[in-house]
Amino acid sequence: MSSHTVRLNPADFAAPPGAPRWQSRSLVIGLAGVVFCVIAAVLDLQDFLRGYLIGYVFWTGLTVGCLAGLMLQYLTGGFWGLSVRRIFEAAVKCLPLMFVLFVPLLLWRHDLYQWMNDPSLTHENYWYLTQGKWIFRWIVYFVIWGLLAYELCRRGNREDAPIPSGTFPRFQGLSGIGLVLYSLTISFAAVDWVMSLDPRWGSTIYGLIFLAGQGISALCFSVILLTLLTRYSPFREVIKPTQFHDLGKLMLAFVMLFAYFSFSQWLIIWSGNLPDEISWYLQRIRGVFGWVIIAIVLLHFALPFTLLLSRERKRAGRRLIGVALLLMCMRVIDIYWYVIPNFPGAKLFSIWYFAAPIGIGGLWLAYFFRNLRQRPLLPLYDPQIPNFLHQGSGHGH
Amino acid sequence: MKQPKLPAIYGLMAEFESATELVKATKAAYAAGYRKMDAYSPFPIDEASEALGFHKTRVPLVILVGGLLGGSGMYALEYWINCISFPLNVGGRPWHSWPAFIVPTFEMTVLFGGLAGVFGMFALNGLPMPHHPVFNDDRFSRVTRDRFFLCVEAADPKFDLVGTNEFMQSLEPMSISEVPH
Repeated sequence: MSSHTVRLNPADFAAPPGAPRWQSRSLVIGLAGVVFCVIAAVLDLQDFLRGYLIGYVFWTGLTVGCLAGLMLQYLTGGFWGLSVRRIFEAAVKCLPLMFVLFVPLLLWRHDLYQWMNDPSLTHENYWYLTQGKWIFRWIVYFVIWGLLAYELCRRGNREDAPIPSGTFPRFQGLSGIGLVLYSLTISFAAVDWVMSLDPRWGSTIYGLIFLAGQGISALCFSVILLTLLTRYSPFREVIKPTQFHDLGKLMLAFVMLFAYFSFSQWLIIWSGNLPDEISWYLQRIRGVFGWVIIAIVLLHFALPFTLLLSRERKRAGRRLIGVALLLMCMRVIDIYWYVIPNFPGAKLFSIWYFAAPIGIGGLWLAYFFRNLRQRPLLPLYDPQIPNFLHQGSGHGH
Repeated sequence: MKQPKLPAIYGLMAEFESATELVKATKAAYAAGYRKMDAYSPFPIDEASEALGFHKTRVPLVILVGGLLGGSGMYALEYWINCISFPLNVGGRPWHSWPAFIVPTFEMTVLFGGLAGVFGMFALNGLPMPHHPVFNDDRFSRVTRDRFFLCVEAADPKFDLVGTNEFMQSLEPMSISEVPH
């Protein structure tokens, strides 16, 4: 039997004492970032907008990646899901923020998307790439994500109080449909927001690359948060190395999936060697951007892949957190590599690129910690919780 | 053929009534410095595996070596075919067109890693082994029903018939038996 007995008291699983401090610090970073954004927008609107798109795609990706993670853990079950469910929920509740933060892209869309100024650029895509439909689809994505998030969180909240038997909320059907909707919407969103920067170029695996990237972001973020939370009791006692092991295995799988999708896109376009398609890559593998893709191959795939092979590393949060932080940084650089070379004469480096990713990130994290503090960190009346709390003495996974 | 010199017996085996006692005994034996030992139970016990240091095997290393050999071997083969033995101009590409080489390289890495895993595990387990010495003890047949056994092998450097027997007594087992070869 386990040496510590953990009482089922929701108050014990409130957000740790550090959380208000994390929230206020994030808010300070976010507000400083907003000031930085205003300066950037005044001094160099073009560079600011390019950075804004990177920041927006990354943080929206993290939010909907957590939505996918939430649905995935409901669908598959397992103790790792119980340990990160509230983290995913708090991240998913940041969707309203990302909806509002789309407004700058809406206002300055003509500065980013050339096809909006010159419809002849769209060629045979003219029926898809129109401004009205582009805005309409943005609303549709958020309505779908928002409804899924709302319903999943509403059902999840019921597990904070005793549930009469026979009326347990059901998640699996909704999550299964939700994952299908997520993979479709994120494919279209990636095409609308990033791929259409070059309206003549197309790739059918594009959305899946972003999907795998969002999976990496969400898993890394949950590992970082879980490591942070296990510094405090009682989370330190209830989270076992097995939970980190499971998350680490998923990270490894998603790193491989990301590399697989990215390489497939490259292999097919390289094999075809058609002027319309390969030119997209030539902009990105020649000159300075060539070094960026080498860094992505090494630090977004080779190094994390090698590190994540180690069983011992996957089982300890404080050893896994380094890989998680590296991968999240590389996610931003990967999106940068997709976005920036689209603009003729774009600079490799501009201080204004950093304004929006930091500003949006600070606001997002502040909102996230606010959401995290609203609920106990474990869904204490989930039917699996008694087994979860006693996993040291059983053989559960 | 000259037989290698074997210890007189295979090892000493202690019998326990519950999984908890087995785990406790295994931990004690590990702490006492015994490494060449094994625990036997009617169902898998994670803690017993942990206590035996079961997860620290050399199988991952064998898989790594197998995967690296498979991958680099395949890449070398493709290089030899396309650049040395039978160079063909395909769409004006260089002979050493690495993107096209990656897919078979990856496949062979997986295949050889997998095969090395399976056969490496067999080899490290000493398989094939038609008969295991622990079955020489009649009481051992209950391991598939309601008994738990810990066998310290005579091949362990720390093994000593008298000393190990005394140590096992301190674990308070139901019985201790010498396991012949």
